[in-house]
Amino acid sequence: MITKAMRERIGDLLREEAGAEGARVKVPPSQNGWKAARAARAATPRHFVSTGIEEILPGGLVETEHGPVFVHERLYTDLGERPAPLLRKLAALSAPAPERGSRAARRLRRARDLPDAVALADPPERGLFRRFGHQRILYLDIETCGLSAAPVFLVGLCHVGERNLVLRQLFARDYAEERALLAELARIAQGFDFLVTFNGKSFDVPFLRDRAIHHRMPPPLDLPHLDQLWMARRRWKESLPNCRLTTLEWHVLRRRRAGDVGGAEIPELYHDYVKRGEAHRLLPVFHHNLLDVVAMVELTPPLFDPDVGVY
Amino acid sequence: MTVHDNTVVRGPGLFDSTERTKRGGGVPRTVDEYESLLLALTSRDRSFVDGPRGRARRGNELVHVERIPARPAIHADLAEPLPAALATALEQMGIERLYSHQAAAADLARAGENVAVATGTASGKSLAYHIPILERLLLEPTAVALYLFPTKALAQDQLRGLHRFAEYSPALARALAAGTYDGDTPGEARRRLRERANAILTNPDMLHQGILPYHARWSRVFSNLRFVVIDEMHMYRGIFGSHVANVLRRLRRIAQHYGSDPRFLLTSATIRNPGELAESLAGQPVRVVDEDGAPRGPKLFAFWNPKHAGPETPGRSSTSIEAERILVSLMRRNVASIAFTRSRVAAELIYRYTREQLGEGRRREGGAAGERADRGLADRLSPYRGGYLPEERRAIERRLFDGDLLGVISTNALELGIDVGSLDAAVLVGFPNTIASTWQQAGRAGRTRAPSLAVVVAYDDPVDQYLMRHPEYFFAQSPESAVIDPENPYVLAAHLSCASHELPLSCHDDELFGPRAAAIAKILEDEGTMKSLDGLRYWSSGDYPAGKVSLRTISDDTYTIVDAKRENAVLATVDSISAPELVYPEAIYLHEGDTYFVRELDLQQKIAYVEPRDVDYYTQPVLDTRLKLLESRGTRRWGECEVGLGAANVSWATVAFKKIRFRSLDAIGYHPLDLPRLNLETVTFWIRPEEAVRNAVRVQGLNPSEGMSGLRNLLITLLPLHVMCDRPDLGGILDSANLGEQAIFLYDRYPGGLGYAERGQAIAEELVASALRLLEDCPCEIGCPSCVGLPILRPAQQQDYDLNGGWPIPNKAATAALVRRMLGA
Repeated sequence: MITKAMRERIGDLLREEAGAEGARVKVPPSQNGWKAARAARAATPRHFVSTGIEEILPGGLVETEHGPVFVHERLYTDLGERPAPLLRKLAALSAPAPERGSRAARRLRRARDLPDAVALADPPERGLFRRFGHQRILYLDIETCGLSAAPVFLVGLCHVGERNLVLRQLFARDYAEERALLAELARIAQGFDFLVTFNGKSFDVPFLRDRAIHHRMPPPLDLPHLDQLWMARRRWKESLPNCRLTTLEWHVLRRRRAGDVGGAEIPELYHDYVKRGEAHRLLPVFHHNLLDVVAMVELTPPLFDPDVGVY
Repeated sequence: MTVHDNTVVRGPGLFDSTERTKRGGGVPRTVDEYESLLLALTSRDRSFVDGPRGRARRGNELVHVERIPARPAIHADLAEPLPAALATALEQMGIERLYSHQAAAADLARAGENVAVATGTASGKSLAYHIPILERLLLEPTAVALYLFPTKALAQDQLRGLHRFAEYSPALARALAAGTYDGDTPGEARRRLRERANAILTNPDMLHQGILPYHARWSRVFSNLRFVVIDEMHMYRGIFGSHVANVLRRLRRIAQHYGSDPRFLLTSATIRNPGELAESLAGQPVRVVDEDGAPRGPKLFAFWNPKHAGPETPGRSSTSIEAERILVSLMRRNVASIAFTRSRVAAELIYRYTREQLGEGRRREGGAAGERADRGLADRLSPYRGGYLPEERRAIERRLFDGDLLGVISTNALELGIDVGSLDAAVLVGFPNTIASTWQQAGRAGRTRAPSLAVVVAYDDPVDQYLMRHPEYFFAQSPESAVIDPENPYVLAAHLSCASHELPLSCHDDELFGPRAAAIAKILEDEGTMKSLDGLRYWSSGDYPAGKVSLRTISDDTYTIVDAKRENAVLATVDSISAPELVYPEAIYLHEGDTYFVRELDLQQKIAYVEPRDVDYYTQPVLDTRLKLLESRGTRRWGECEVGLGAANVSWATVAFKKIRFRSLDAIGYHPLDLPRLNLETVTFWIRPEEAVRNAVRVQGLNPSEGMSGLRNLLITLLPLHVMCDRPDLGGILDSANLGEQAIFLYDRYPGGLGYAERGQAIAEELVASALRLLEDCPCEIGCPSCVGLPILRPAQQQDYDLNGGWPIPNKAATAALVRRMLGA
């Protein structure tokens, strides 16, 4: 972790101090190349073009009590998708339970066994949809610099508008903007009644809570929470190799991503952006996050639909 | 600081060695009786050659006794009374009045000061911090105290101590929620500790890697942190101490972030500079309490030198066997005794010999009844080592505390303050490496009024023999200073990285970390691991810094030793440095005195497979240490020498082993081994004198290699004074392979180096000049541990020292001749 270059510079520092104290012995420059190499490195200027994310992604700065944070907004239609079918299915989830004799109830009779069927058609999580309505959901997925003890820099959100899905990405342009990010998230969350995530119970929500404590801020999300990973495991654990979001995307939504950035690369991309400012290198992270959020939303109806099988 | 005064010193040759004492009888009631007990063990006939001048001496093994007078208790009362619950608990535990140092320290702590208690062993130091903390927990239900111990074992022990308080008071039991937090703590218990505990016992490594980086999860603790206890602070010296001091600075800044400012309560064994060390660690002023108010009975401090083996045989009788004789004699008199050894092997050997002696009932008098009594004693004897499983160690400690055990043979594990009750006698097998350790071990014996005995049994090695010949040297020495250098730039670089990962660095941190911090942080930023934003430096790398910094020079990995014949039941553990010296393939591993054969050493899984085997021999590893210069970073000429600096790989391995018969110490076999070497990549500096220098020494009839040895020892003694490290933080060898000619290599015992060798190279001339001054000023004639002699310095020493003996301290004259020529005199 302390690299050779750091050691050399620390050595130089010590020698300067010793020189200042007037030590009798001075070590003359050595024949070896390391000093020359270092001098050469210092001579070439580091050349990179700094571009802010604002110049590449449409969006604006939102002021919070902790300063500004960058927000990028998209509509589902901007992605070339038709929102209407998805909106209908989400709305249907908020419908009350099937009555005896109804068409829905008849479909249940075709299920394999009663507990299975009941569970499939009317899982307990559905109560949240019925109670609050699909327009009061906030979908959330975050990108961070590590699994723990690291900053969060990107929060992807989605909610259901009148005729479209609204996707928002809150972005901290550097480490100092994380506070503003959390503040804006808290403000937005106040306008919703329940949270839907994928693995949020283990990761996203505790992570955000820890970061808020770290910054001595109140916890940003104080909402009932549905973690779709738990539902997916319950339903599809036996039939699928794993329940990762991309696996479900393929087997349930019948869609595969091309060239997505790997989760392990993301932290270093952000660190590089903060230090060097090459915004185009960060675009894949925004894209990855967007795809994750969209996949989450699109997975909701299949999770509740007993007729959906896996591919 | 003197540890004793008004002593009556009796030297050798004044005893009537024909005096016999009556066998049997109970525990000695005066120090004179202890002296008689020892005298009865001395060899009776002999004038044997002793000393370098071949002076025939009609003497015996008891070369010196020092009488240390008794000391009464000094009690004191607290300035303000304690809460009723705590006062009653103390009463019920049998503590009616506090000793002066306990009261003084507790009052200072209650008044909001940082306090360091530096009184002797078993003086009740822990009460000095338990009292103010328990009081605070009773008065402030949300308060939290953090305790740091150097080892997990000590933390476990102190947890029991805390729970004992709770046993005696329901109010305390309700107020106290205590637990240990270390690598073995299961996940659920960790969560409970974070959420609810108000007394958290842990160690510096866990604090560094497991708590501070995750401070958000510990916010409740940090918001309410009132006290931080640093127990056995003398352990935090040298490199380790420098690291721990920085961990504590990180702790303080995180506490500040969450709004608390805890007080530091430290305890220490007797060292020369407790105040300085405490303030370096805490980074704040600390009040020192070092007047010991605990009572002591009179003590006899004896030096025992095993006699020469015989007129034709070089060397002396086995130290282990002499120690066994003394221990047996003490146990037969019902004296509760502890023997301290330098290595596990020695502990096991002495246990085995003692058990044999008692078990086979080889008493000459007393007949059948005597035999039975002896066998009862054999059951009341136990070995004790760090590698035993926790349950075993607990059982031994409990038996000691209850008085069930009469004899314990330990490595220095018990030197740390585990509460094992009172003992009457301490037998030190070989001098421990420092004066401070010697007094600490000797201090384990001693009750409040009854007399006690401490006896050092010497090995046949240069330092032990020197001390036997010059006991006044030992008693005149103050305990060593413990020195740390928290501002060592390499250490700082590591901890500033961790600190910025925890909270961004700000200019306020310069006060905490010292004047170099800003410059080092800038270097780290330029190299890309940090980023400045609005005057704060944030960690900007995907690395997790705390995971890459080790506080200790050597890794903490443990090997497990399992019994292959009992379905791999775990027998014990051993650290990864000692494992290749203790459980190499075909070794005889001793466990509780029984012999096991090592079938296999699995280096990947870190398991040693052993099986019980009845043999009449044990094995001794032959170690090879090698330094390989990897890259020279520069050399210069100095007079007729070359001085250089470079990167080196220091490696060591067990290359062979010897089979040694028990008791007779006959070597009955020698077998090579092929084990991978342990490696340390570090920085070294060297001094290589030309052949002309060596010749100049030769023509004076002196041995230049001895001179080089002596100079090496001098440099290792002197360099720590310039770079503020501990002697064991440096290594040094003589080697001809690397440069083609003999040279002295000194290196940092820490991966990557910490700047010590670098500095040594820069001031090489100054060091050698100081070496000459030290030699000339030293009043010894031909060499002593203060100048050219050194105790054994190696990373691990898992061997029987009885087999090594007989080599001399390097010749002072040869060293002086060499150094003078080098300086051009």
